[in-house]
Amino acid sequence: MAINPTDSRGSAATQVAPPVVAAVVVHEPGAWFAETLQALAQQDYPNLQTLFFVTSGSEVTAEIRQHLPDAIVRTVDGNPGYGPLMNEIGRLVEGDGGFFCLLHDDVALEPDAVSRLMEEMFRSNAGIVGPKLVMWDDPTIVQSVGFGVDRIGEVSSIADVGEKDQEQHDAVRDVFALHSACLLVRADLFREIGGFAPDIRFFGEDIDLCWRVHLSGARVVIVPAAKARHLNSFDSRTNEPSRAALEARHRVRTIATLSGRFQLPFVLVQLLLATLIQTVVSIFGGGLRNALISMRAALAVVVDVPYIIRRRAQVRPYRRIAPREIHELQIRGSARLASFIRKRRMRFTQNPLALERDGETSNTKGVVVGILATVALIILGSRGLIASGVAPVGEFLPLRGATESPSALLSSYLSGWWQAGFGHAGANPTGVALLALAGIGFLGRLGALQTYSVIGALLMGCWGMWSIAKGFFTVRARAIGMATYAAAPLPYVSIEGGRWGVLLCYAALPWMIRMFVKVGARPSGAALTKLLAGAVLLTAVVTSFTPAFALVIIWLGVVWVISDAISRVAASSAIGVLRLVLVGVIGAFVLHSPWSGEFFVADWLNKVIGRHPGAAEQVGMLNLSRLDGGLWAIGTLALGLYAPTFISIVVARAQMVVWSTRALLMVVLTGAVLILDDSGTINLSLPETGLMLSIVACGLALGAATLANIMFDETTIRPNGLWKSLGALSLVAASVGMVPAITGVVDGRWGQPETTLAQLLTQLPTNPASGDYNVVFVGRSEVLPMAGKTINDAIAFAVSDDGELTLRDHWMPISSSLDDSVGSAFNAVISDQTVRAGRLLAPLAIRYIVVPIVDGGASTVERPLPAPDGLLASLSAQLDFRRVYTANDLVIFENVAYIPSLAVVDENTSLVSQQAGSEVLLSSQLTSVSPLARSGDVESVPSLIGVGTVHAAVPFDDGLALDIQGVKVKARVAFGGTSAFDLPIEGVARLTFDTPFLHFVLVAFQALLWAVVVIALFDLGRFKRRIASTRLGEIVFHEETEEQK
Amino acid sequence: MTLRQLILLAASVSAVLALIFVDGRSTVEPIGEVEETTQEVAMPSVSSADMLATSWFCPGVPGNDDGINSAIAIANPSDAEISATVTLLSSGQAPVSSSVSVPARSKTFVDARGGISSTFVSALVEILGSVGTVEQLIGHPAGSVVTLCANRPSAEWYFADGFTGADSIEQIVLTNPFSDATVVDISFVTSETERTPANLQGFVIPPQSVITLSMDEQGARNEPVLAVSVRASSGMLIAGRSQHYLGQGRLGYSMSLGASALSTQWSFPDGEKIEGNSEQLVIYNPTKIDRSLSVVFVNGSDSANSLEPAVVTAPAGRVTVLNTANIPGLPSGYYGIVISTNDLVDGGGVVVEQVVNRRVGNSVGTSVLLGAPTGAASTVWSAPSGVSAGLVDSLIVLNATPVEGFVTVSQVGPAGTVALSGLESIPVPASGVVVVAVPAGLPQSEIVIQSTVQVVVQRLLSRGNDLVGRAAVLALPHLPSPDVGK
Repeated sequence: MAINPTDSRGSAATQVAPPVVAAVVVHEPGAWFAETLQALAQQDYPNLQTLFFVTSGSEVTAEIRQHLPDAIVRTVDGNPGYGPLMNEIGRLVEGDGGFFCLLHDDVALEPDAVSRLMEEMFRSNAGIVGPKLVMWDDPTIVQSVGFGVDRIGEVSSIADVGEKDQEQHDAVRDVFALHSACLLVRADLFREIGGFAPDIRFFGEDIDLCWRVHLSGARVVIVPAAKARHLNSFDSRTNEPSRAALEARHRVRTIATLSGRFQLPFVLVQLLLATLIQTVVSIFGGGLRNALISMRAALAVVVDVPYIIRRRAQVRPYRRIAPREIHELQIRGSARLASFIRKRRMRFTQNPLALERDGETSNTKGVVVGILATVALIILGSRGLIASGVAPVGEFLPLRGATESPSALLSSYLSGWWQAGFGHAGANPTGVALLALAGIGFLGRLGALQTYSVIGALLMGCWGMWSIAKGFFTVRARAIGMATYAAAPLPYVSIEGGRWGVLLCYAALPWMIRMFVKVGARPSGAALTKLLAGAVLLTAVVTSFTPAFALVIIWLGVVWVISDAISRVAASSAIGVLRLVLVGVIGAFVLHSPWSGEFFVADWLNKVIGRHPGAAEQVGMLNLSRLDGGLWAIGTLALGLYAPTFISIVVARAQMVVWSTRALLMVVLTGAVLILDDSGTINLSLPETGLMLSIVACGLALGAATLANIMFDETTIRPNGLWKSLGALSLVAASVGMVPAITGVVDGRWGQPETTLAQLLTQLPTNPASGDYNVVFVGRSEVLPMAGKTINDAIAFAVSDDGELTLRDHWMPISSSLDDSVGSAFNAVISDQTVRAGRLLAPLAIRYIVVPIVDGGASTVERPLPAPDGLLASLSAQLDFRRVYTANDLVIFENVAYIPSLAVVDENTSLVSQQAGSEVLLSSQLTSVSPLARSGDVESVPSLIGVGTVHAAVPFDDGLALDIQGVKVKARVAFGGTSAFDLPIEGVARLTFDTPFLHFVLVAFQALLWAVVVIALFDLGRFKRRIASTRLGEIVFHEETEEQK
Repeated sequence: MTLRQLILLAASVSAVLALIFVDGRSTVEPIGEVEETTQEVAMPSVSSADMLATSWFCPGVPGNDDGINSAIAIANPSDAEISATVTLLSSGQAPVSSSVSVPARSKTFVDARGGISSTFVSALVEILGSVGTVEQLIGHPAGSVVTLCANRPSAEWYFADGFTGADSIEQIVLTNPFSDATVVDISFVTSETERTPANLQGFVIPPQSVITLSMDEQGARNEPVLAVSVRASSGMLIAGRSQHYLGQGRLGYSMSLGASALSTQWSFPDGEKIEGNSEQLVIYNPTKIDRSLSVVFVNGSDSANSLEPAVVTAPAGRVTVLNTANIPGLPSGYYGIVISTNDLVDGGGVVVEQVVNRRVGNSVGTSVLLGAPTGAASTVWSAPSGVSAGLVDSLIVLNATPVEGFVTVSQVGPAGTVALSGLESIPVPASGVVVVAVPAGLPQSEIVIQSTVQVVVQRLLSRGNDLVGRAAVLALPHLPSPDVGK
């Protein structure tokens, strides 16, 4: 239905007054909307018709009717945006004459506002005019009297923030731009220039419109005699992700579209320089986020080229004014700089409001200083690591060029042979491929990769904690939460003990919680997809190194849901969290295929949980609570970190109750499970204690942030009296709790040992002439340098080949019959069933048996963990074991009965190899004729071999073959588990492994899956959508029914 | 604060308090205590559990005197043939290995010297599985002896009794069966002092070799009291003691396995107070702490059982000799002796050996027996080389429990393990001993003694060559003690 503006009021005055259609876009208004309507109803302009665009979900038709019975109301699906909706006025209103008064729904015009605007419109022959906007609650404060804009689109408000209205701006004058809250524009002009930019839904549409009005040769005039109160409440009613980002994007698009052809290159260069300077300055002065947003917007010009070309073509017909003249209207120099100088000047004025804001600025600066101090302390505390690298302790196995170079790792990944332990045919862990990619990212500098991974994990964790409550807490509260997280001793004792998994969990958990928070807002579409992809990717990356992380996030999700249920958060939020966890875990499992197939075993839980340091010994509630395992001298002070979490639940009000409940339950429930398990009250297969304690650390940090938010920043719920004192005291306690971590900075290496087990192991020969061999580490699981397999409650073992232990050995290899043989042999040793275990281990090429006692991590010289009772005595009783190294920290036995891992064996051994069972081995002395050198993961160096039998101490697999003069001799099972090759002819032979074709297919499919998730995460389709979004679809209105009328 | 917050806070605080309580009542056993339950017994035994393999380390036989016969007895009481590997170790020569098959329900003797000429030759017998028992036999002109073989090497060995009086020969035979050298510190105690000769500190025993130390050459000539301790600072070994008594009240030959550990209790089934015999209990306390010991005599009757235990103090680092003849009220005849430490402060113990000189006319036969240590009592005992049939005191069984038991003596033969006629369900009084006479004419096969209660079994063997007296040796207990029904 078209609207005829001359139909509105049939008085005589309307016959002479030009028609004005006041259009209002209404979106989920508050109680103040009545004032907006009332103000419109009270307008004294005689020929005013009102048109309301109501977004879906805003039930205001009756209210409009109540105040403006003649108003036309059009409901629209969703919220297409302010500009696009207002553009519809040109379609809905008939005739070229008349004027449009475009209004926000939170603007209350003075009764004569439209009249005065019209008067000035004619008097000044303006194209567009606007009223003086004042604050809604305090009309004595000027909000806007127009804007100045510089060449790069930076806006400078003519009125200062909080400026008292002393009629100092009451002169009618030309301005570059007017606030879109209220604009009176000539209908023909509005139609000619195409209204608002159709792609600008919110934020920046006014600058773009006014700039084009200037281009068309019309004037933009502020009319201070016309006055309107403006609530400016749209931010609280929009789901737009970031106002700053949208403003920056629209600003850049506007200048790229409307600047003159010859000025454009200079403007763009100026834009890049300005954003660069802004970025540099912001690093030291704050506002880095905004600077980065500006930078991103500037760089996005490249993506917007098609759009810019199209828009410039659209503008060209009414570009009547020379660009030079437009520039004359713009602010010379930098609007940002001018605004900054003006703000600095205001700091010295007597305006009390300005002082208050100054205090806020000071707080922000304090926050920046606090964050920088936290980061600086972390880096300072890590200076030893930066200078000399990470000590090879615990899981911090070194990265070496020979074994961990990207090419070597990728080659292994594609080979389908996993060399860990005895090796086996099967997929390599996904972490191997990720490690290779990381190595490429670090340009092959593997040492740097490892060092910065460790330090980066600390920083990532802190950054994640900073991000968790974004949008809920103030920056100060978030900074306190971050500092509390950084002060938890957990990550530092993890570095000390080489607990890579714990460190990863510490880094990743806050980000997972951030996703919990985000999913609670019930996102949909691309946002939801992005979130789910993020959960999958995060889980996949962390579980590729620490599979137990999957269990940790499942537990975290359960705790989160319980706390939200207690806090009466909407059930849909809980469902969202559970879905996120489920998708994350299952998605990660899928992304890890084919490696994840190894978890389809009966003891899958143990395989997921992996190594379990300290599982058999009680840590104690106090040591668990200290988050340092009792390692730090003044670690008890860290208990102070708990105070805010318990106090926040007392003083919390409103939304803060949700956060304090979450924090409390993360601490109490997780702590309870750990302590009950630790004390033996319950017997659960829990992930490593440190992983679970990461949840506690997150809870403590969130608790501190919540309390800080309540105490300092939430003025409406700030406690008083006793509660205030209690809150303050608990924050003081938390500060004391930070002391242990701060003192840890002094060391410079977070207590990492100078000498480690790995360094002592270098005495074992690498690739000796006597043949390659394997090493078995046996002892307490805590001190094993790699993932171990359990023999009994006290003893575990792990197998590696000769040479230095490197990060490749981090992953627990799949258990083969050979591992079972080792386990059986050591069981026999421990239970004194034989003194010939050396013979049992001989066909497995186990030459050295290493009993670590002090590894420098879990067991140190100061706090040694003794070797399991009787183990050394039992090993010493073995007739074929020779002690080659005995010290307080390490005992090494050599098995003199071993045969090399690849060797030609004598006839007797060949015959014996055709049998299986320990009896055969116990009664036989195996003998090798000559060792064969191995290369790569499983292959061998070509060697001349006579007729006979070659034995390889690797699990039997059909893909293994000995290639001798073009003839492939397939492997046979030897000793019931290893591989042997009976050579019928003499010649140069080489051990090979034929990778199954299916393996390549699976790896390709896996790569595809990862690519899909990455694309979903980074939402690469947004570039396409960004371009597509500039082409708007038709807006469909729902006309009023008769009943509504 | 809302009610919900209050409840949440109260629940959380209660949970923390409950956790503090639970934490204080921890049930987690520290690592190391898990394995404590299986305490090792400081004497050879037959494993009752299934074993992958069993090893027997024999202390050694004289290897350079053709007048001395020696053998290794390997008994197989099972219904299937077993195979064993015998490795002979000597001084300065490479080990010699041979395989032996022992048919079912039989016994095989292997030459303990294997043609090797060495001062002493030690045998290592490895048997697949847990079936099969081994002993070492020496036929010496001064008396035949049977010696137990150790199940495993040890880092410490003790000999309480020693005697070089009247130029008697005492040799300590040290066997290192490992492929790595073993380093030991040897000290000895005489009636006057403790000595640690410098040349015996850090004493190296080469891999897979046997070293013999003559104590008289080490400065212990003509010592009536001579206890020896051998402690390895690196590696482990087997230690035996060869004694040839030549006078001063002792005559004969003995070869004994040392005590591989101290014990808080030692049991001797064959205490004798018989006219002409003398009996001594030689107590060696190699620790740094004086030990108070109780010596209990039991024979199942009130006459002995009502005796107050004799309390003896064994000074630290010294040898104490208790002559039972000096104990008033001790009844004549056979009795069992149980010696135990009274102070269990540090769990330390002593080593006790029993020396019996049996005099017949002008001749004497000396036997030396290391007692059965704590935990050795069992319901089943084996004598792989058999017993001396026809003697009235072939077997002596000590029941130190307060419950009467019944003993059955069986022989392993072609028909399996068969109880000997007349030797079935022989009652053994509570806290008493029973002396079993094995009838003459039995083939020399393995003997198995079963009891309804845990007992200690000792054999008294004929010394051969028409020599007077007995050679004493314990049987081999089956451990852990099997459950034998009545």
